[in-house]
Amino acid sequence: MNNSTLKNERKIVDKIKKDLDDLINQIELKRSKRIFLITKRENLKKILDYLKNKMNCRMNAITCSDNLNEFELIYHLWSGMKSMISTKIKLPRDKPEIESVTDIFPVANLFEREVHDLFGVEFLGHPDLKRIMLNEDWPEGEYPLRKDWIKNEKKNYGG
Amino acid sequence: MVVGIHLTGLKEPVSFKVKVDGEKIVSMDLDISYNHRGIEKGVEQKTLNKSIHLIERICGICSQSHTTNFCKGIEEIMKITVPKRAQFIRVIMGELERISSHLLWLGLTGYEIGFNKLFMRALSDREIVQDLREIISGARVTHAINKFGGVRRDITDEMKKKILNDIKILGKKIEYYTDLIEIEKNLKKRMKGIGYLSREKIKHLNSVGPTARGSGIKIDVRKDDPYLVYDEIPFKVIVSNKCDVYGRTYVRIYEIVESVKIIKYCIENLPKGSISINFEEKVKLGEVISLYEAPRGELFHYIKINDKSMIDRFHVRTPTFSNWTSVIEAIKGMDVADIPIVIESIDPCLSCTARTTIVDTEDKHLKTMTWEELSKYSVRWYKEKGIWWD
Repeated sequence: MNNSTLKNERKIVDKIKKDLDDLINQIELKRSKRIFLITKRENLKKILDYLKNKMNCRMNAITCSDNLNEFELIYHLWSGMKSMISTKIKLPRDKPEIESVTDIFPVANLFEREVHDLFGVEFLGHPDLKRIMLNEDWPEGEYPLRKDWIKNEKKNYGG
Repeated sequence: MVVGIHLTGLKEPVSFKVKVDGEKIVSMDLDISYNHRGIEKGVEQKTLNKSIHLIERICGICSQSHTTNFCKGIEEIMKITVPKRAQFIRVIMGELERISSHLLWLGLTGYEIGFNKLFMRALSDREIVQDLREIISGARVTHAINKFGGVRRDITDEMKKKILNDIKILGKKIEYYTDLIEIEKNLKKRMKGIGYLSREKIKHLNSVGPTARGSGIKIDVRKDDPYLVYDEIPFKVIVSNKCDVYGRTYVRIYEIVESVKIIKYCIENLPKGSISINFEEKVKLGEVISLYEAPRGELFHYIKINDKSMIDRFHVRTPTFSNWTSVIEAIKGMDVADIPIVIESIDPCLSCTARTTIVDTEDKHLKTMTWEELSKYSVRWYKEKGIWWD
């Protein structure tokens, strides 16, 4: 990877720091074309709106991971300035809910449904948060990608 | 109307629920849950080496894309530099896969519109590529050629001669398709204006791959976030401003032309050296985002490794997943007869059955059709309008 391209990333980082300052907890330039932002749940929509309109971003994916203490949601966006900008949020495990961003990025409709289906995160305001990955007769309340999910031998998982 | 269907296209499981008003489509809903195999959960319980084999089987038609993307992600966490020769071989395999996927797609598109000659030709020409893939890796799909640190099998001097010879033949055969897209009137009638997705709409929906490039959006991971040796290889990103099925077809045909050039360049410039680097250390704790330009568009892998060198989280976002909203938008306002070709033009890759449910908004009448029936209906509909093939 060509190191001189970091000039572009530093420009992006500086602009974000200047424009979003207090909305961001931390910003990290991991390598060329990989920028990570850490923020709180309440700042997410403002940040995504900014990234879409001021950084010419499109949405690549929404990933979720579970470390038994909390869920970490990452909103991965690709900027027209040729870098990935990934925004990390932590959600409490006992009440994992966050505002839907389908009004900013329509493609998030499917991504949020997937995270909801497999992890049980609630996306408030989502137009139609129904199953997408698991079969329609999969039992309610069972979120297989959670680290503490164990298959109940007595239950019927449909399919 | 419910179209309960086995998608003859790629034998994949998707359920479409389409609302119609007479012949025109009002809206569409989809259900893609039929073949969830739990691969993301599965790799959390396997060692990294065993995970490659599972990940290769996420998709048969882009198996090389998934393993290359995964391996280069892990190699990035480990800060390993893969030998140049191995990178060139990975590119060759990736581009052979792209040609194979696009030719299959071209054949199936021909089939969907009743153009059987196109179907036969494309599938026959595809055999040239499939044979090369078998010669290099021992298999026509799921090559098992990638490993952490490089590739498993080398390209011998004899293979080089054969590859150059065969892609030269293929290059000549591709002229049939480039002529077709430029000249054939009935093809244009069948495709122009169908499944229209404006540039603004595509940007709004964040679509990727030929679906986006067919609407004038110049995005291609090989140029935007170069990996392997793509930053050294001269090639063009093919874009069309037509924004319809014709545009997407144009893009895929000319991408085959570019892939042939890339393979030729790679064989002629294949550097000497080893095909892999020793990978003894345990993988470090870390996370990585790996991007790859698969035949259908941008493939996204998010990999997180825990302190036990196991996968903590592996998230796959396939290009088709990003493009589903385009399918729904592209079909609105279209005739029922256009469903097969519009869906085919997005080139969905899932892996299983497909059923389509069409609901008539006027009389709430529910009708079920298999994809085969819908395909035949579509071909008949256009034949009655005088659009047919000799």
